[in-house]
Amino acid sequence: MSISVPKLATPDWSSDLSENVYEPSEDSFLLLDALESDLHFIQEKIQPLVLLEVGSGSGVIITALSKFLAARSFCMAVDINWDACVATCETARINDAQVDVIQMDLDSALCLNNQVDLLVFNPPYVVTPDEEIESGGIVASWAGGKTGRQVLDRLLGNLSYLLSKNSVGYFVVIEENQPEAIKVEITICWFYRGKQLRNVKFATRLYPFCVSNLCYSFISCLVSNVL
Amino acid sequence: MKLLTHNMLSSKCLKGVVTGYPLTIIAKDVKVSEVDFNQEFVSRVLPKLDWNVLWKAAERLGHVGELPQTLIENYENDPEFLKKVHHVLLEVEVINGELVCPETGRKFPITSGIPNMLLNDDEV
Repeated sequence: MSISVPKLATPDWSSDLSENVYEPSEDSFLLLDALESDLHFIQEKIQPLVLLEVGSGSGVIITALSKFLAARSFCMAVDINWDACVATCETARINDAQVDVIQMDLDSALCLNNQVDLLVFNPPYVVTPDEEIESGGIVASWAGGKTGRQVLDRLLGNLSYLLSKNSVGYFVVIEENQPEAIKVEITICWFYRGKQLRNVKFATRLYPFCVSNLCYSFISCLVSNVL
Repeated sequence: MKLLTHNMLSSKCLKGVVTGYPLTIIAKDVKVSEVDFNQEFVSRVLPKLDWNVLWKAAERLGHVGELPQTLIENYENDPEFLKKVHHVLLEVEVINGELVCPETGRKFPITSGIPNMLLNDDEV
């Protein structure tokens, strides 16, 4: 008997994406691969109801998840860039997927009542001078400040308020972001929150990826309290 | 913006705002479209949400129908009830309008279905 392995199809996206929107690239596809390799875990162990993609850009990731989970879940996408919000809506529409889009800075306008079951963030991870982060537009899609983590770190501090008690988060990081330090950062945030929540636990897992034609080696970092 | 999203949005990122919840909806265009119903999803997502806020938002948009102001018990086994909840959660959408902070009156525009929750530097 063969066991069918679930697939996460790469959605179509508009051929005339705004030049202000990050075009799906190697890192987007690696994130899709990481999610695809976890589909069984996501379906069986997480059974996510509320999905959130932060910085959805073209919208291919959240659209792929929405197509896969269909009516079993609710997909939200946020981006600080208006053109990216519009692109995400358009990608969802082209693929007949349901995604609700909000323009905001990270999770700033969310209630943070531990409602998110599956979080995805492909942050701006490129090491740049700090001031480039504020440039807006397409630069904001990759400029990550001096460790490439200025933006990611702002979200990590809120994870224990954002994620539900049966949840998982996926992040794209590169070696320069010091993934081991990210794990420590998450642990510290979770520890303080855990004191209040008592039985909250979490684990992290790294999926190393190497892309030969890029100078980065990508890592997808997972944080979950059900591993 | 669907009402499920509205249920999870707050303006407490504004300087001086304590809870910023719920945001008042001023709807100019509302769209209703058919979305696949999944009974288990609606039943499982309800405990995550604020029923009172959902009910008031639906009433304000004129779509509350026969939904009771107080959440009924044992709704898990009531597909007719869950279908009505599904309708207000996922099928009613604010396309153009505003969200208003309950404490400061700051308005956040909704354009093409997308709320703009960005703040100016002096508001943070």
